Amino acid sequence: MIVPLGQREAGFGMKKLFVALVLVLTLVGFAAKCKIGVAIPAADHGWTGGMVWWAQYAIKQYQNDPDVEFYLVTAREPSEQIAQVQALLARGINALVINPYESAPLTPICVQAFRQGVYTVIVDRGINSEEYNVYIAGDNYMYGYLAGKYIAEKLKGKGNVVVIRGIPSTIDDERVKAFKDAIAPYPDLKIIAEQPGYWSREKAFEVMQTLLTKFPQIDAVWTGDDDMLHGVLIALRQAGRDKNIVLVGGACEKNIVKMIMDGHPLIEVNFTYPPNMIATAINLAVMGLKGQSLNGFYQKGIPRKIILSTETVTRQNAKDYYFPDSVF
Amino acid sequence: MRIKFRNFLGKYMIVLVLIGLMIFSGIVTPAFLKPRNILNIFWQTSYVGIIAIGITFVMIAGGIDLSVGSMLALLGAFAITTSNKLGNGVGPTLVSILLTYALASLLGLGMGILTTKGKIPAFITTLGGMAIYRSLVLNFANGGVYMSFSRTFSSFGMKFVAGLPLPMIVFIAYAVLAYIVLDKTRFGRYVYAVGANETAAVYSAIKVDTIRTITYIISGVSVATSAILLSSMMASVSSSSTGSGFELDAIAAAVIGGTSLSGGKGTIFGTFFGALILGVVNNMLVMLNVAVYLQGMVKGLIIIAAVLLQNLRK
Amino acid sequence: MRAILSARNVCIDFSNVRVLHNVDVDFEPAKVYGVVGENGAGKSTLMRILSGFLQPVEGEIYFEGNKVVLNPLRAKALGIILIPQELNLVESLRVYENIFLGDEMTRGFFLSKRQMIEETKHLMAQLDLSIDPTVYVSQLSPAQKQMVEIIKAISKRVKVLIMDEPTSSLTDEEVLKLFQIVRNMKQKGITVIFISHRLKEVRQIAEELIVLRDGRKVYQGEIRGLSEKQIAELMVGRKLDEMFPEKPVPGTEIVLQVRDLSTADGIVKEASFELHRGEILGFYGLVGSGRTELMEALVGIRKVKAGEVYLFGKKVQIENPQDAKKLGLVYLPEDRKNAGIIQILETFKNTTMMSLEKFSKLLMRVRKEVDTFKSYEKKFDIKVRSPWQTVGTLSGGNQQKVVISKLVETGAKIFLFDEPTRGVDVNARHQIYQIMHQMINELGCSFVVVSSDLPEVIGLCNRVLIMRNGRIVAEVKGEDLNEKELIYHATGVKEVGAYQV
Repeated sequence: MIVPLGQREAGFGMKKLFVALVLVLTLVGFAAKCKIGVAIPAADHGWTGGMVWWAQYAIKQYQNDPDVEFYLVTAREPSEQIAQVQALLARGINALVINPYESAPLTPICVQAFRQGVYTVIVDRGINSEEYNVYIAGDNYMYGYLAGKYIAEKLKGKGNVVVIRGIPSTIDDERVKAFKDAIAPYPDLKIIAEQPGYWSREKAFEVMQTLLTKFPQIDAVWTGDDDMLHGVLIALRQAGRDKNIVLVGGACEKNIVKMIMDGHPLIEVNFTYPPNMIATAINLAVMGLKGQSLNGFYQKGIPRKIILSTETVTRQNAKDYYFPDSVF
Repeated sequence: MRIKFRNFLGKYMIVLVLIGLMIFSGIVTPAFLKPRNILNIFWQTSYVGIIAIGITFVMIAGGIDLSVGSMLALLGAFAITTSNKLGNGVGPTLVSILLTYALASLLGLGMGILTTKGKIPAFITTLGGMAIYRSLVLNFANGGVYMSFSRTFSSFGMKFVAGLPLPMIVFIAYAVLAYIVLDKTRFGRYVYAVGANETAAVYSAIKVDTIRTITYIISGVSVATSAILLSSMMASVSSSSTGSGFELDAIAAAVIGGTSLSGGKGTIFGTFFGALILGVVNNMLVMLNVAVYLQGMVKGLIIIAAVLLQNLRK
Repeated sequence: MRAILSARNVCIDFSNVRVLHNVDVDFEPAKVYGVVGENGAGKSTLMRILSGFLQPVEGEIYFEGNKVVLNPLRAKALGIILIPQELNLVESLRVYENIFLGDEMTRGFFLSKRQMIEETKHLMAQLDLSIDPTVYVSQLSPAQKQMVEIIKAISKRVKVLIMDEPTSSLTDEEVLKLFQIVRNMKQKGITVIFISHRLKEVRQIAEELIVLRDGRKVYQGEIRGLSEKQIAELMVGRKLDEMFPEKPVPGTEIVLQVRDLSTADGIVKEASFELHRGEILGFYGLVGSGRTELMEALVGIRKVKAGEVYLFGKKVQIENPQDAKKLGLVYLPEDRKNAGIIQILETFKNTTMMSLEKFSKLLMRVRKEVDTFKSYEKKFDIKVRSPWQTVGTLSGGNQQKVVISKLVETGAKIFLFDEPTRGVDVNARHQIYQIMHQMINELGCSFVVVSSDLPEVIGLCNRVLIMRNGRIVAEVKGEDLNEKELIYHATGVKEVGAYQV
């Protein structure tokens, strides 16, 4: 650093002040403008639509904060998402919050980001590597398990159960397996049909309509998701069989939660798999960049793997889980 | 005599395939043959089937329409939104339905003009349409769901008329009407000519661009019909998932029914049964409780077999 | 000399109908054969059997004395190569790529392009040709494409070359060049078999003539003593009237007048002419002289930049074929297969295609359509199994009659015919000329005929306009209506050696 001639004579005090000034400015420069990239799948069914909404919501909470800047991108397929992340890295982001469209193809680019020093937060679907800062996801296992346990208890261990699952995928497989684990101790509880509803109302409606024709006696229906539950409800109503049947959906879509709040005869319980985990993830990214910690932890820093608990929603506590402004 | 039989077989082979599939399913799962299930199949097939009939016109004239799935969501969302705004009652519901048809015709007109006068390949314009429509639907619902608050609007989608579900009746009536137009009118003749040989059609003083554009309007109207029925029944439209994949199912139905991808060949009869075959296959998968990960394979194999059997006559 | 290729007692059926009956034929090396016959006589079928593309139901094929069972590959390996009428070239590939298609020269995994280009040049030189091996086939003229096919055959060491209608798209100049090459090949010992409708050409190039009629060989022998008329009679099996009916006497009324017509693309330049009632006006010229483009401009298929058109004395604006049709002006396209007929549709539907308003109130009246077609079937002698037969399966001559019926049905009075008898057999040709005269006498029609067939132009038309480079450069009639005059005006070059003023 070249100190102008005139100032050399000013002495030690001035030099210290100057250095201090530079130091402060540098720190402020660092503190200013955290660039955070958020990459998630485009909405292709209700829950992913919800995640997009929650991402926008979380970002909006920071709109008056001059220190953080967000870039939100949605992708319709893995290669598009990879390209988006590359673009974000080229833009010089400090943190990356990503729900990988698919684990394997997205792993290399996430690892690359991590190695470049970008604070990486992986959400929901994981990657095939341990090289990231934080992993936050819902509890797919408990999600299926608790549903199975509830149905088993409600039916007192005996009855015909229909399973309508989502888009065939590893997440879906995990949930269904957990469900089956939960009902395994009850040999009189039979899964009479297991069919994909693709997390779509119309598809679930069709499947349920067909199953109602095939089976005169259905005691319980587990759909992995509330959108499909809507479709099932319509099918039941249309066939005139919307009584004496236990219905369990999932992920707390706002209308279903309202039904639980209002005491719906068939739907008494729901399990969370919150799309707003993306909002938490975004917050964690900001906290991670700022070097903050979580309350109640003796350890510093953000925990590396966070599995959000699957909470059971009942009539009593439903109002805590009711977000009428959300899109899901 | 042998030739006559072979022609008969070729023409009606598709019906035989359908009957064959149904008998097979009936043997494996007797519940398949319950009248209620047959009705369900017709019902569930109607939505894709009506669209497939519209797309048959487009394809025979040498075009294609990939936008129908997203258009279904868009028109359904539009129908629900307008009917919500106009309120309960038969009058407002009818108005919202008319407006939906108007929008559909406009969109079809736009697609048609871009493809003919704009000289952009139909694949590209309708692919663009597919993306644009879906994006619009998602945007206005923020990725969520359009719910219907009009009791009248959501009342007729589930209705039964003379013991048959309304969608099924509309599907059959629509097919009959389409058959008459395609097979027995001047316009239908022109559609075949334009698709079979565009150059010769031009030289024969046929207004090729006009004919093509009209087929896209027909496609739009078909989608509107299906959209209104579906959104009424579900009383909702999911901006993200409603209609996704419908374009492939509709095209598959037409192709299974003998519609050529390059134009000039196809019949409403064939498309009607092609759609039913798809519907039966979907129903079979559920009835026979085919394992989730095998469903794609089973469906694909049956479709290929259905087309192969029909090719035998050639 | 011993025959190189022979057929003994060959028979074949199509859909239970016998198409060749006990055909016995021999071909010797280093000889040029002309094979003629009406459409449906079995010429192409016989050639396809000889080149392995079809299997006879009875009979044998012998090659170099040995009985052989052929398929396309084996025939090619033996040196029997067929060049079909539509040519077998891939338009989007280059010349050398086409020539070596399937037999590419490679160096390990890679194509040795340079070698192939060199070899192509070498082959071209052998036949005194100079086509650039690296251009795309789509850029070549029909004549050049024909040459490429021949080069292809030579590269495969052809011994028997069969050419199906090789001259149908060539001008007279190009035909001469082709003949030179044929003679060249004969000298190399190759057998050349030539199927053609152009009897004049067959007489020019072939040494021996084979006539097929209704699936039987009715003549094989020297061609020298036979006149065209005699050959035609052998083909048809009866005495032919004169090919061309007596020329009509045109009226004085001017039905079509064109003044200084130029097309937007600059191909046609300031064309002016008049057509009288009942006249047959010919348009002659080399390929690319702009005749087709002028016709297309008149019916609104090609954009017009300047000029005026008067129909029946009234000035008209024709922007599209619909306008033309409404005014009674119709066009028979040069390209029958792609622009004249709709191949996959039924025959009767092709007839009514331009007049559908006449056959429908709300719904189509198919019975009326079929009846209308049947009347044309009778009047024009269109040979079909049924009105519902797909028009693409008809012979060229019958297809052309169907196209004519389509145009007549519109009630038009002015007809622009572009190469009306190309790819049409002798009998049908004659019938088409008669139909034209019928139309003139009974319906008061007038014709413009674009043709590259000199005898046709001379025998059919009252007068002939010649086009060159997009302009109408001359009008020829009366005594001047002869080959020499027409060729002179078309090429702009006087015949070498004729230094008369």
